Amino acid sequence: MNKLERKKVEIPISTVYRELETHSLKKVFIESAKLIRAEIFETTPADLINALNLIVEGTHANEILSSIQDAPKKLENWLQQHTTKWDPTLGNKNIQTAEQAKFGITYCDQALAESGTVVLLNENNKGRSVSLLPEIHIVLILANTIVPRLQESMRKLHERIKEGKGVPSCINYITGPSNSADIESYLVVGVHGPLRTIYVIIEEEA
Amino acid sequence: MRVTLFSTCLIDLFQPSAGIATVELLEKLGCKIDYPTGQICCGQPAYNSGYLNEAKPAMIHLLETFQHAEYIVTPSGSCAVMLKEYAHIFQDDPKWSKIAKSVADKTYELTQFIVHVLGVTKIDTSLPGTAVFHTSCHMTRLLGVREEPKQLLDQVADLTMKPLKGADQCCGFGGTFSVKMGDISAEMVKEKVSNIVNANVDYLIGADCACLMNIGGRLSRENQPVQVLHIAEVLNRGMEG
Amino acid sequence: MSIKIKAGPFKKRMTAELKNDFMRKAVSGAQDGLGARRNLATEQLGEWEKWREAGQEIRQHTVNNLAHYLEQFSEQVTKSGGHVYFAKDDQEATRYIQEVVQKKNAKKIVKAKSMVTEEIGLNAALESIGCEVVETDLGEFILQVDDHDPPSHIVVPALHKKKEQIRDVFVKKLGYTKSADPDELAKHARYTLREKFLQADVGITGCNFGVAESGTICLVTNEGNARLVTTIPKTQITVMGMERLVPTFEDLDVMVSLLTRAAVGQRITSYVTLLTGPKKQQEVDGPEELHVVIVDNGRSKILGTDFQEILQCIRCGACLNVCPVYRHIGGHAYGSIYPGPVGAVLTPLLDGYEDHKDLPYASTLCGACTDVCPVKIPLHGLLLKHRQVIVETEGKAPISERLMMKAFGFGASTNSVYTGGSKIAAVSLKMLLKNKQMISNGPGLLKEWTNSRDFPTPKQSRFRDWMKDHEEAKSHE
Repeated sequence: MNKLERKKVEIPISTVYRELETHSLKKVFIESAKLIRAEIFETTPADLINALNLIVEGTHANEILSSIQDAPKKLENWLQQHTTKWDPTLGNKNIQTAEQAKFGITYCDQALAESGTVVLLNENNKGRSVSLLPEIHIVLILANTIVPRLQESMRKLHERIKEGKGVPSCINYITGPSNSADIESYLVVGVHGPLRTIYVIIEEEA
Repeated sequence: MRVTLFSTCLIDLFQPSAGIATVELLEKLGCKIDYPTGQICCGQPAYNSGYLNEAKPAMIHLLETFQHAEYIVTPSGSCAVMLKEYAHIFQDDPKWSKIAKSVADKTYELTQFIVHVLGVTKIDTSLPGTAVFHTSCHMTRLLGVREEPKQLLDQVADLTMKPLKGADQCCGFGGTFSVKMGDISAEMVKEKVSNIVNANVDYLIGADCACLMNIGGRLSRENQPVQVLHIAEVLNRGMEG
Repeated sequence: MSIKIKAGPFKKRMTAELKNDFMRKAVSGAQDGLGARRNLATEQLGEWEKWREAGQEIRQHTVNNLAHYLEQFSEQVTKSGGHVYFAKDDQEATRYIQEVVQKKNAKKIVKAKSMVTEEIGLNAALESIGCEVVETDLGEFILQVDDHDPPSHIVVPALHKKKEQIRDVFVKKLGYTKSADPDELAKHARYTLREKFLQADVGITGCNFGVAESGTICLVTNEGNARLVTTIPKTQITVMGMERLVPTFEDLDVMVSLLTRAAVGQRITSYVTLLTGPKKQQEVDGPEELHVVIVDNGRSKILGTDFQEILQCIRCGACLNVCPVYRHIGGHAYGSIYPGPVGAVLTPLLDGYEDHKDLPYASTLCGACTDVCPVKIPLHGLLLKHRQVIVETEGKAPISERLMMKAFGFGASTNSVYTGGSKIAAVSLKMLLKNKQMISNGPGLLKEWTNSRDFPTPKQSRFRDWMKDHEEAKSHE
């Protein structure tokens, strides 16, 4: 197909970059996440298991669905013991599990400081349902995956296309729990998606 | 400085006092006023109703009348916008495109002229009391004159300007809209008047006679004790008034 | 439902809506609330004007090269395993979708909110072949349950409804037993609809943006229903207006940034979902089959005309949220699924002037819509253009008005006529005065004015008379 000549569009500069001159990506991300009613836990790799235990305390492994690939050993052990893992060989059974689950645990591939958004690239069969059907969505966020805004994330997708790599069949930008203002402009939190969203931000101690 | 005044048909028929104040004010500021008596109407009522062909004779008549002016000043944001629009309306017209462009370029709304051409931001005048300013839609959105009237009014001695809720909202005039869609127009002006009344002020000041006639008409119907003034009338009062 | 939602003359609908106090309060409250949120969000982003310019540039470029990007987009959808169908009108679109559904032997269909599916009357078409079609957006669901009440806003479709009305409908139709509390109502909808999602054979969505470089469908939502619609059913059908493309993901960043702020004052919505093709073979959830139906339905006729800029629209609804006319008459009065300024421009283009010739006049041309539009569509200019077409090409203006305007053209260009006329006007209007400065009960058209406000009487001495004296006095100085 013919290439079209096109003038480059100047993308304006969001104020988030100014904010980032004095604040860390993590700090800005947390401030944004608070605004969209995400619940926030800050932890370290060493303390992650404690944090997770605290969050899911008393919930049976049947009611916790997880889909985390290439987890570090300690986390992997915990997931084995305390959660039901998304298992492609079980096919549609996974969706049933997700529907019954109280918690769904995922990793995010990227996070956006400006909006408090987590980015889930649903490839390699991570499962779209894990972040959607359970009542509560727990996202593990590595602090070093936080970028300033949507722009960096979309640029990466654009580069993937240019390099001929293609993009995942589903990419989710998730920003807090689901909500609606369809009844008398009153904000209802928790409609079709999760009723609560918990961000667990993991960073090495300085 | 020589200034050619476009007084507008509304002022001519209904609000001569605003025209008089404009002339006296500009003269105080050192201008010499030309008033071509051939001027009638800018054509906006017909043009905005979709009657371009019917509006054109009025427009051409004004172009003929004003083509030799140095500065065209009008105490109406909306009419100033219309004169500026001539540049687009006649852009493909071999006879009038150049003249239309030049008329558009030298047209100024009154406060715009005072602030930007005369370079005056403070006029010695006083008006004891409180007021709100009605920001007319065409003047602010289409002409881009937002700050100039406020700048001038802030300097008026003894006058306290108050904020107006829903200030950006149209008063419901809209030319023939006010009679074509009279019921909707009525609801709009009622809301505007209720916001003005709630601001609890002595004066409503504006820079467009059409809006003032609309809002004033509703204030009068409700017997509200708010006096309606064109900004020229405020700025022309002098210190003793 | 098709693009028309209410029959009868505009004036009648408008008069009825003006009496609907709840609706008017709801609309003005929503306008004020959304407006404040939009202003805050755009301010926080910074350089809003530059963002608008960037958005305008992207959309203009896309619309100018629509054939190119449609080709690229459909090539990419196909490459990623989806099927593309170009529908020239509503009939072709609904027929194709009926065929897909029948081939799948599907009976249960869930839908995410989509204006274009309303435009083509998809629900009725699917119901006519025996399918159950469930709207899953909370607002749309409420309207559907309430015997297909039409939407009154393109983003907040049930804006005109009271929570008590919703409760009554839920009680009657869904066996609901609780209060009118929005949280409880929403929870009931959640559980009712969860069942529907889990049983659905086909999911239908609209499309906020199609990304040409990858064939990606972008859905921008808050409730999560569009995610469910594209996660559980085995077949996904996405219906897209043919102009809804952006060239690349970099452009998509700008458009999403503009859309969520302009529409609801959010930095981003809860869910922005990018779908490229059906699910991959080894993947568990997501559709096995994807159909993208690209709908023309009158859009290509707009290309190359004075109205082309309306195709830049991204359906954010910001123009509704600032329009002082929409504020008072609400969405239903427009008689179209596209209300407000954008609807008044778009509806006559898609559905003809005959039934919608009043819409372009339902505006004071105040320009608030043009000012707020995130892609800089000159909305009020296009309304004015419609008026010119109605008067000059279509010949649909009332004869009395035409004669009046002819007289205007003559009077406003001929000095002797104006001078005489303005004196006569002064005298005749004076006769309406009863020892007052203002006229409170005028005849004819003036009555439309004096129904609600007084009209000033022309002054005895016109400004030009004073000016003549003034100039004479000056010359003697």
